[in-house]
Amino acid sequence: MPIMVGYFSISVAFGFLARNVIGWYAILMSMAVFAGASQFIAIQMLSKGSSGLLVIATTFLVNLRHVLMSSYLATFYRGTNLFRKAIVAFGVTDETFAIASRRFNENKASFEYNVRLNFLCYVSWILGTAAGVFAPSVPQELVEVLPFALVAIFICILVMSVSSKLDAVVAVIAGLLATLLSFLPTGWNIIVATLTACLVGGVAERWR
Amino acid sequence: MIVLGMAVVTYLPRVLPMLKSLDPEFGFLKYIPVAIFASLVFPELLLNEHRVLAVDYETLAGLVALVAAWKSRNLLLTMLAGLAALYVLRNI
Repeated sequence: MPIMVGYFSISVAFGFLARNVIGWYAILMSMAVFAGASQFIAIQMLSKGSSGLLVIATTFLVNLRHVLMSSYLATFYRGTNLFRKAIVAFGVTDETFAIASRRFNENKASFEYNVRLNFLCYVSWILGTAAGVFAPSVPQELVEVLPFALVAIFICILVMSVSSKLDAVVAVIAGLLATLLSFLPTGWNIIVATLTACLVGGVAERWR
Repeated sequence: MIVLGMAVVTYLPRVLPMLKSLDPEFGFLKYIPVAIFASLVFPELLLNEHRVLAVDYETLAGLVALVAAWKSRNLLLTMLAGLAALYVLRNI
């Protein structure tokens, strides 16, 4: 439930910001892309007149991180048929992944659970976008803080995912590395930092 | 066209790892969630728009969200606490 409220409010902000740039195409984008961070980035780039090709390239980089998430989820989907995997894969996002992976780790998830979770988030995302596109104008200072909802949600997910000292160490390494590497094109710092920190975690685990 | 392109490049990283099975020996994969969310959060809090290490309103609101997350373990409460903190900080 909270995750859907999170999706809805963030997508309202997205629709609201996007309508000045691409109008109702914002709704189409939410239906076809369904990836928050890259949609916000795309709106910003388009508003500054970036070429479509550059927007697509950036989207790819930003969303490359889902390779890691899908790889992880795939370890729970061995033996599931291709069609089902293709469906569940469409709904892999930071948030649905966080919940699904936690549930899988506790042996409390299944294909049906994951698809239901993804679908509910997907619907919230589209409805929120539509609400944002057609919403009356609201105080500007309220709109400006809405994107921070995403960060607050990530913080909560992070806190809930840390279950050992090594988890915490991996988190700090990844976080600091991503910060130091932020001069890299958007998205690359996240990929490099994540892979490095994961390898450190994996090696440290064997040492003991 | 742009939307279509974005849709394709978003779907590919999501679906390909599902279709091609991965060696279960990749034990370090379990650190992926923690590492990804840390690398998404830290830069947001530690950098300001000019890409300098800085304590700004986002950093403080992030700390509020961190405490809220710690105490409540609830996504919605954490989100509201973070948003409220940032709103108050920016508008006083």
